[in-house]
Amino acid sequence: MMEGEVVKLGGSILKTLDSYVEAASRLTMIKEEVVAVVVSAARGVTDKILRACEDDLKAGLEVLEFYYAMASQLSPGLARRVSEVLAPLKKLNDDCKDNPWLQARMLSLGEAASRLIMVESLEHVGVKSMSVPATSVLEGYGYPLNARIDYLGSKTRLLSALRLAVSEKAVPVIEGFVASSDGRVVVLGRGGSDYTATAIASLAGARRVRLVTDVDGIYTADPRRVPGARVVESMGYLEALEASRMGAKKMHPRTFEPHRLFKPVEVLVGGWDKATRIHPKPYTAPPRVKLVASKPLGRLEVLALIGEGAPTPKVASRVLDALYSAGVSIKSLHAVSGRPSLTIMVDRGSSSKALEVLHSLVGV
Amino acid sequence: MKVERDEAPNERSGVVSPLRGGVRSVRVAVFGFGGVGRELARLLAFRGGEIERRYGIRFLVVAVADSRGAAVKTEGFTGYELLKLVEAHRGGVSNTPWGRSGWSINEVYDEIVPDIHVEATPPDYSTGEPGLSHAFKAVRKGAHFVTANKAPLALKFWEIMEEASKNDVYVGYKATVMAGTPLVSMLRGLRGYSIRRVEGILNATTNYILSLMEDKLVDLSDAVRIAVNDGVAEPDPRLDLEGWDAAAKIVIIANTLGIRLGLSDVNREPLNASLKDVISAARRGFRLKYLAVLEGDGGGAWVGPGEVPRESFLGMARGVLNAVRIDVGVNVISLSGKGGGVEVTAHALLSDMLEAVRGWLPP
Ligand SMILES: NC(=O)c1ccc[n+]([C@@H]2O[C@H](COP(=O)([O-])OP(=O)(O)OC[C@H]3O[C@@H](n4cnc5c(N)ncnc54)[C@H](OP(=O)(O)O)[C@@H]3O)[C@@H](O)[C@H]2O)c1
Repeated sequence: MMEGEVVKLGGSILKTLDSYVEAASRLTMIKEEVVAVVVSAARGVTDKILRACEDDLKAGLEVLEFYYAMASQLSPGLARRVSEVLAPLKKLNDDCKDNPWLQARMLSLGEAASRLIMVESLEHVGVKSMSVPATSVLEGYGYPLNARIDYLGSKTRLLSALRLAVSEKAVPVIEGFVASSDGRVVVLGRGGSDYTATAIASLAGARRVRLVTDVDGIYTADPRRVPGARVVESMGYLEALEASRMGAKKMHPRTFEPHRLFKPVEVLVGGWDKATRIHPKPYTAPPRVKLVASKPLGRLEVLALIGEGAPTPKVASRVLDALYSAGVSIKSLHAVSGRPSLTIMVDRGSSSKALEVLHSLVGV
Repeated sequence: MKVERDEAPNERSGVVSPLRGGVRSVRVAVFGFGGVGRELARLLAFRGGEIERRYGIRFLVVAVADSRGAAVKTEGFTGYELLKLVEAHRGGVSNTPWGRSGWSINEVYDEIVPDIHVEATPPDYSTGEPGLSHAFKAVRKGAHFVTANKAPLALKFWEIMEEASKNDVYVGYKATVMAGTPLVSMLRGLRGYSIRRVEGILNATTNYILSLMEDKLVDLSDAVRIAVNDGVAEPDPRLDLEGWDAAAKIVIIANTLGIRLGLSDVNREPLNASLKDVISAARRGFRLKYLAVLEGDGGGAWVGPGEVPRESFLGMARGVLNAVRIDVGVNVISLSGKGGGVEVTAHALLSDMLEAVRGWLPP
């Protein structure tokens, strides 16, 4: 078992070579702690490959050129390797649209190239680093575009790779989102890198997972709509999943699955310096309302107070009072048993007002 | 550092088992550093420590070579270095810090003779090269020869075996047939039996293509295209479709069973099935398969499309599975398993590498 943390670098912070190198420099400061680095594809790449699979062949070439340009700045050898790895994007045709195996293989290329660039970026800043293809350590099963990780089938191979890294004092870099199923490439569904990172952490027995993105964490409300919104300090798994379901922070729905099955691990979501801590135990502190999320639904807006403290009569009555005083009429208010949220539906027109009112209940 | 003659791994005397605390270093050179060669390197990097603990054998990769050159390190690459080699671009091992541009087998062997030579170059069934010269060079220099490349054995099985026995080295080729499903080991256990008939589905690509035709009702050319897209068939699948691959495998099987047979003795019919043939077979309760057959008693061998009952052992091997049925008169033995893929192939190579130094393993 390996103490320490798994760091997942999200696509939102991987935009240019500079951002790879910057992430690498950040990693130098904690490299003794790092069990593995999980990388996503650089920003926008997955969408482009999907478009290329639809029929926009140009998008595939753009991905190739984008990575090639970055790789060339690091070394000519890397540039050649990257263009070899991405070569199938040049030969895409109609077949991709309705062949999920082919689509999975094409999508995985964006992640694979990102791994190669991350490894070289780490070497560039003086950190010994090892390239560990997900396909050689993670076994998956199920639909090739939304596969699940076969934890036990992956454990031995994963651990032997991680142990090599420990003995070589090198940081292993693994691409997220990707696994192999009986020798063929599968992907884990949108946001699958989170799932990769937590699976690796649980199987390796790591203490912590850090999901690094370009925001500081999960906010008490959408900061673009609620000026007083701030980063939530900590929440439980269920609260985080609920927030994710309500669109507050997109996370793969199976992100916390490995933790439930294996070793529970603390998850940090956010930036390098500031993040929301998601802890395995639901009730470490008295239950509270942690945040308010919202998403449109036709002419209505679904608002949700999220937190173990939300689905209580006390909070419900405070919601009703506060919205009434603010002159907001509500369409419905309900809670679902076992889910840490209280859902309120209002007209779109009054949603901003409602959001602000509900935000004042965060912390209750 | 060359292993002394009197402690050659294939000699039973002086066995040092890990049970008695000894760890032996075995130097390995890998020729051909594409899909299979790289997967083997990665496997050795990741699992080398475990192999050492379990078997007391430390495999040291001292050289890897591709078509443009080699990378050499006489004390053996570390796991970290192996992974760097694996990430070199194709044909690029000589551009790494250990690279020797333009080096081929002769220069490598002049610098260091490995204990085990692993051959993972592409097969050429007309000349056998480069595998054939590599095979002779290796065994003459006293290196065990472990190969995934079928061509040298399909063309000159006995010449290689004789030379190997003269030089007291092992030839391992489990990876050449059914890539890792240990058919070859099983065949070696059938020495002395009479062989009535061996029939099998030995080529994963054609089997996958025929399964696609039946499942999706597409014709041959569409099925080939899908198989390439699915990552099962090579972009240029001619060696599979024309039957070279299956023919080479039946030749290796025959010779392993002591039946001398050359590649040119095999009657070879390419895969030319139409969708109509596939459907017609299905209507009658059969499946069209690409078969490889060896008849006992000097009956010769052939490869080509043929029908088998749908519910039979061979009929049920679908997709990328391989299956073989061996009739030895007093018994019929059936074996099936994955027929290809770099991972299973690399595992088969590793297993043969351990077999080559079996004298050092616990009995
Ligand atoms: N893939 C499988 O699932 C599988 C299964 C069983 C057996 N096999 C057999 O295993 C062998 C390797 O397969 P593969 O898939 O790894 O093929 P591959 O990816 O095409 O790799 C072949 C490698 O051989 C190198 N090569 C070519 N000529 C050479 C020479 N004269 N000296 C040294 N190296 C040379 C190539 O060099 P460059 O990189 O410079 O081109 C390349 O590195 C083949 O014989 C194949 O039939 C494969």
